Amino acid sequence: MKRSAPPALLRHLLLALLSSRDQETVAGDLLEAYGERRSRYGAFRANAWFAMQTASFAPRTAMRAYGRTPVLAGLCCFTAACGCWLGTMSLLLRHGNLLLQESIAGLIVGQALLTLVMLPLRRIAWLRWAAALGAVAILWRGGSALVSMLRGNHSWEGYILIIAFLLVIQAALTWRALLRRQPAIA
Amino acid sequence: MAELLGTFEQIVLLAVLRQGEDAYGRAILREIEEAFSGSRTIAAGAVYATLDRLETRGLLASKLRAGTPERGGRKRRFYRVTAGGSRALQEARSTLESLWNSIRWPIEVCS
Repeated sequence: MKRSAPPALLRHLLLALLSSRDQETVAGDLLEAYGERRSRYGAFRANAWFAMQTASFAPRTAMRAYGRTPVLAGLCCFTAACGCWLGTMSLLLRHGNLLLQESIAGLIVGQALLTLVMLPLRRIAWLRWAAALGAVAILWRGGSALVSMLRGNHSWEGYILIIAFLLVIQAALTWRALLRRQPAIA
Repeated sequence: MAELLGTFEQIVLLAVLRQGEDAYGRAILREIEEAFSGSRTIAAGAVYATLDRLETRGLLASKLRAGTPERGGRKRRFYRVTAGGSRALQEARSTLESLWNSIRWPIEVCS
């Protein structure tokens, strides 16, 4: 009799989190255990167990990924914090076009979080594409802010200069990480 | 002196020893869960990370064997404790025993 499999989303997530060395063996172990649990406790508890076990691989995979790209990971954390700060200040001060300012803050935070999720889950193609497009968006946003300030169209704001510069660096590092071959994990 | 084994590392090594020839990931996970009387769910990620670390330190060795239909034909990785692993376990046990032997049981706490 064919055993039921865990939800496809969880299976894909597990495979994305496992190193190439562990993909076959660990996934097989967990599928075996899932089948036992499902016949003993039912689908809901078995799925919950499988989800928890899949999540238990995330911290190690994330640490490995961030360890390979520490500057990009750190930069994403910093720009996410900057985006939150910009969004909050726009809401409080309400200077100029609030919608535009909130969109920019949302883009900065969203791209930083997306990159942080993409780095450990590089095997998921749509995440790579989304991060690549997001990198273009922050490159355009940061670059245009820098150019505008250098041309004197805007008054010099130290914090905008720093954030714009960091966004350009973040975009370049994201593309570098995306183009780099994934190292084989022993 | 070699680095002393952590508690979870000792648990994993003992689970591998107890499983003998059948020590593959799923069996080790079940052995550890049973050691806790099924009172807690053990995170597979922590077990496999420990297995990897112990193998890197040369305390465990592994080899692949063919899979079975219930795991979709996926291969199994079987582990065995090396001579170094056995020494490390004995050292950890004797260190703990010498410390425990000097403690009166039950432990009295001064308030």
